Amino acid sequence: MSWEFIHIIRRTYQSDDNWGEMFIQTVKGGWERLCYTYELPWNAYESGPLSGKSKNNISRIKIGTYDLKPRSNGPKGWRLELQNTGHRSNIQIHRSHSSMFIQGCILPVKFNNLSVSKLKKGDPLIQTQSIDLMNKMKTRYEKMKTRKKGNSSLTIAATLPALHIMPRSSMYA
Amino acid sequence: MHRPSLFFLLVTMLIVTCQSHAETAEVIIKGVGSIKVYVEKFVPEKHNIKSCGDYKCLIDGNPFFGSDGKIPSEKITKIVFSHQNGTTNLDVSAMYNPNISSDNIKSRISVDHYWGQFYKVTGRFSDGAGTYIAQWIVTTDGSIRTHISDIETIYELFTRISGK
Repeated sequence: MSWEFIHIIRRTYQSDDNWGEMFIQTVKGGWERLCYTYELPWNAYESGPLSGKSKNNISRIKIGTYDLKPRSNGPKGWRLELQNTGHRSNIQIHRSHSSMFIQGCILPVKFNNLSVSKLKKGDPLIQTQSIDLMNKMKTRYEKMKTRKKGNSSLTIAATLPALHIMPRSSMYA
Repeated sequence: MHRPSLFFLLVTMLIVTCQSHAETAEVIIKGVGSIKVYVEKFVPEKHNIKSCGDYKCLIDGNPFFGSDGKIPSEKITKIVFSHQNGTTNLDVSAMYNPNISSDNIKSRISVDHYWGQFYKVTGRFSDGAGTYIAQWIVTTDGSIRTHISDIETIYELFTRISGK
């Protein structure tokens, strides 16, 4: 039995769009908008045994619900690894590097391509801000974990979480 | 009386045979030759694995690539460049979980002519946070691995040397 911790809305389902939004569950059971997300565009195998499935290294993973496992050590710091991702492996929500290079993972960031103050890839601030977001996620995770049983989970969808109770005005703050 | 021990011997031989079975994938480089990648199951019990917290950081005393700090399931045992004059083995130390098969090898490994009889072989291995890039300079008489790292490190290296 898992408990919902993160919900990601992709701006588009299957296209060359990179952007989405991330919500994390509040202690009271509602949802709080945390940040934007950056992923690779959808890119599927066209033939062979993996036909129709996402290409390793060069595509985002398919929408769905995945259990999450926290990881602490290593060069990317605290992060959440998605479980049971089929033919994909090492898919994580981890801090963005300033370059924003990814091979299928999900990066939490504080801007998107429509933001007024656009950061350019390579700006160290991208990484600093992303680490702040991961720290916030970690603090919330550790607070929630003491009250929940089983694994936390992530849902990647094209719609808002069902119990989104934040006032709409704060959603896009 | 001897039947049980014979049975266990046969089962053990079967297990050892299965574990040491090498899976291969090959890409043909038109007019040049081919690259064949040999992969075996990784048997943790046969290796000295060091943990740094929840991150497996060393195998047999060396850092390694492909699993982002988890125990790998596969190891590259050989990459062989076959050409008109014979074969050349590439350095495959520290390379795990390549995630290469006959279906995807064409998009994972490329060969570019460098100069004369020299070629640059570039490979992208594993997946997600475990992804790593390796490059070799290869000739008919030998080869050297000129790079192995994740993509973030390549970016940082480029930034460092270009001063950007």
